[in-house]
Amino acid sequence: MTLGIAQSLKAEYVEGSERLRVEFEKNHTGRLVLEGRTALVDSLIHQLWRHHIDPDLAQPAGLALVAIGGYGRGSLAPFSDIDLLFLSDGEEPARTHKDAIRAFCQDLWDLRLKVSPTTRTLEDCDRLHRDNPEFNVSLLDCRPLVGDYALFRNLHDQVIPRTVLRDWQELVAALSEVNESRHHLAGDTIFHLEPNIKEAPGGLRDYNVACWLALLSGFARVRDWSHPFDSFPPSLRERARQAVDFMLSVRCFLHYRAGRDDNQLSWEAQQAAAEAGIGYEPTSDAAEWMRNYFRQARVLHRLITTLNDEVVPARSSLFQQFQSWRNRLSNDRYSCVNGRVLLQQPTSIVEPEVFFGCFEFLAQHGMKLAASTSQRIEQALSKVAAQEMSGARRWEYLRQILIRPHAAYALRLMQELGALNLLLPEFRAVESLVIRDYYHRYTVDEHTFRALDSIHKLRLEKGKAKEKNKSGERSLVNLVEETERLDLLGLAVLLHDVGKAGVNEDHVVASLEVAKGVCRRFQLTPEEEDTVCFLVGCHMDLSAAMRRDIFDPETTLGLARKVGSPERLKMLTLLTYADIGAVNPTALSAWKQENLWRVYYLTANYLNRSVDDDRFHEAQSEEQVARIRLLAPQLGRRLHDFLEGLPQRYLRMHSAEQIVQHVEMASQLKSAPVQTQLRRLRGDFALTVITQDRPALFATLAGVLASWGMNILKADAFANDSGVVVDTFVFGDHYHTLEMNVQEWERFQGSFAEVLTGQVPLEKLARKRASAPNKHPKTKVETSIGVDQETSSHSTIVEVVVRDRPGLLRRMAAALAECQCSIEVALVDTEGESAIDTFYLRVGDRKLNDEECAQVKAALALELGD
Amino acid sequence: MTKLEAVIQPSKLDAVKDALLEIGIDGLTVFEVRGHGRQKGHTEFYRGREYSVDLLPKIKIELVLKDERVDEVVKTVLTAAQTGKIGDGKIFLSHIDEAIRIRNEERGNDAL
Repeated sequence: MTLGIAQSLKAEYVEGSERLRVEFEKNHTGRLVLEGRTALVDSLIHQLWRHHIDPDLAQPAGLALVAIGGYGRGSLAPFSDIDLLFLSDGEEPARTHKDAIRAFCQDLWDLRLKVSPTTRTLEDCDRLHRDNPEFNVSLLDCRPLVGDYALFRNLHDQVIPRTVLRDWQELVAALSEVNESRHHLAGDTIFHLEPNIKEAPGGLRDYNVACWLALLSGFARVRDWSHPFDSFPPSLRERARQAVDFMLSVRCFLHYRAGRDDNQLSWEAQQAAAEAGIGYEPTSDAAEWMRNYFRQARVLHRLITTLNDEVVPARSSLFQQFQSWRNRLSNDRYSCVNGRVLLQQPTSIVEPEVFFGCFEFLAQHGMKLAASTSQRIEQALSKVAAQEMSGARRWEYLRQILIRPHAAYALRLMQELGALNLLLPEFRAVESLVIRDYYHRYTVDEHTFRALDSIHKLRLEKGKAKEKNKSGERSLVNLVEETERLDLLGLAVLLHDVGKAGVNEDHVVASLEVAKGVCRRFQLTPEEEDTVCFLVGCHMDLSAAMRRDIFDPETTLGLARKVGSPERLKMLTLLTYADIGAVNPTALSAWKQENLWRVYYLTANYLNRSVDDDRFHEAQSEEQVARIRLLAPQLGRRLHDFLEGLPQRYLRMHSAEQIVQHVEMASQLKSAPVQTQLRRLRGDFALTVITQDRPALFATLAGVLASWGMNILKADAFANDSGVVVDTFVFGDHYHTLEMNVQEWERFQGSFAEVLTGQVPLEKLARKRASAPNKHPKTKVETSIGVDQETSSHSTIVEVVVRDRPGLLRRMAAALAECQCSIEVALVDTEGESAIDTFYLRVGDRKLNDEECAQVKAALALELGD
Repeated sequence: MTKLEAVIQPSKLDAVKDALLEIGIDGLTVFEVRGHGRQKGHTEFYRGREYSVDLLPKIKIELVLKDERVDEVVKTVLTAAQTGKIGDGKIFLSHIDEAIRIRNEERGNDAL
């Protein structure tokens, strides 16, 4: 090329580029830069073509210059490569112009344009390149530049459609695989501290892939070219366009800022983009700007995920069989076809039961929604929102989702579709909220979903745990199974960080305020509200304890006082595990998990072994009874008389309403010396017996239960200073005696009074009925009997761990009674196949001596020996 | 140049970090480790299961210092990390032959 022409082209390119840059600084519209640069490069290419290849303007036959890739899409970022295809009809035209093509490309390089040229014949383009499917895909963006136009039309109208339709399955699979690989390299998440806006999930490449999949889908449908938007879900079209416009503007900003093809949204670049007002109003708040970034990235990620699900067929026949098996999960409301959920009656989606039930179904089975179902849900939003729904009902819908294994997945989807706002509008405040530091990888809402997911994943891990005391995580697995109110824990997880959206520096205080409001709106009982608020309010406390000396008794004591009960401790430990683990992939190291587990069991042991030291005394506990007094002022002195000397644990385990009932029951002991209360729980029953203490009382009560075939799951036995005992048993009704026969309740409760007052001997009752059948043991449980003389100042603590079986508690309690031990406190629990029973024993008014301890151990060992 | 390695109680990490920052030491590396000295840990029981706490959780910090600052930093770490109880940990000092800053290839004390 002559110097004159070279200088002229260079001047044109430099001036044109500068003009585009200045325009971008004014309007920050990336799309205009891309279109402008494309036009600028088109002009250079035309001139260079004329100079090198077609000086006579004769249109050389059999050779065409085609733009592909980003250049073909008309989307050239300031410093991105230029992909060129020299299309040749047979080998000859390319060979003839070989030197000219080389000079052409050299001149482009001399203009500082990064060119990626390729020379192919029409025949090359007419086959699938299995080792390089990206080439076939790049042809989907082909655009004619100069040369033999008829040749280009042949490529566009014949060759490409033919190749696509012939090799459709393979092409789609290859594209999906490359995409999956790219996502996998990026950790399968859109959440990166410094994302690459081109390659990261949720970035521009996702949009490109979505367009290619849409085009390929169009080919399958209409056997010809179509517009990609035709295959986009209608609800995503406009949002995807806005997201792409945002990303293109960010890309241009990054290129201009670095002076090269740089797509990394670094920490500093985020701040600069925020201050420059790229995509939004200028702000110094880079976290708020990144929030917008993640909103857009979510849209593009949802677009590619939806198209991937809809367009890409299953890869293996085994997977297809699995998907086909899942079709059996269909019911009268929802049908499952190839792993997608459809509505049996689409118009029913406006009914809240069906609407929210759909997400419950997803939460149970983890399946995907068919595109049509997603659409129907979005269309039904306003109709469902307009319907009258009590807070309790809304809570019930949410609760049913929270307890299911794929709850996080369903809630994420609900948020994307706008459905979560109908149940928990408070959560909207943390949507895409960024905590901008090097520690928090995820936005607050994503962090919350991941935390919830990690708790459910622990349940799935249970089957795989072998040596449970080896690793912190394996030990934590059991806590999930033992947690009775997974729904309340789930709600606490959802709310624990909502306060981060507020201006209050202490997000815990802010989250707690929100939690109180939510609990009231959901019409939770006072106990349920207490539990949720406790979890939200104390969700940082275990982490704080882990930063102290965890072996210091003061640390344990402080925690135990704050937590109050083993059930709360379990839930708080799980919340802490989930919270730390969801900060970033490496936050919860094995070291931290083990420490968390240690904090848990040290505190749990303290709670179990300090019951009788920590008792209610009128002088110190006025605040505690204030609420009860407010509820039932008529109790007067009776309240204090009943509570005096009871372990504090009793107050923590029973609601104010229950305590009032117990006081009333205790007041009637003179006329009816055995008072009982039977309650139905979720799946089990709870029996409370209030009576005057007497020898072998606990054994007798356990015996009556065993004679009815009841399987005792938990129990606690307390006594106050007046010798009135409050024993509560939670049991399973194996033979469904009470469940199926409400009229038996009275007889059941009556039998306790009959036996305790001597009207009916226990042995007679036991003979009449069969006890619950022996379970076939699935795991080996080592029997252990531990005696602790140190922890309690009042009693000898005996802890027994043994394989659970019917009648066990009665036998142990009877053995203890025969050793002349009185049971001051009994704490009974089951964990899978294990029974874990703790007895606080005294002989007369003192602890057991060494000989008595040995006797108790021997007696228990004998009873438990078979 | 001297490398200082200190194994300390985890509960003392914040205090040690703050104390070092106050005297102008703002670069250190932190490791979560387990170990024991003479005290060897103990056994805990929970629900009939034995949990051997023979390797206790500790924190190890590492920093490389100019020789003239070693005494001052040792004293700072000692003061911040000490509780007077068994298990407080130890400080080790070793000589460093060379230090290089990766960004601009500065060497020696300039790289610290």
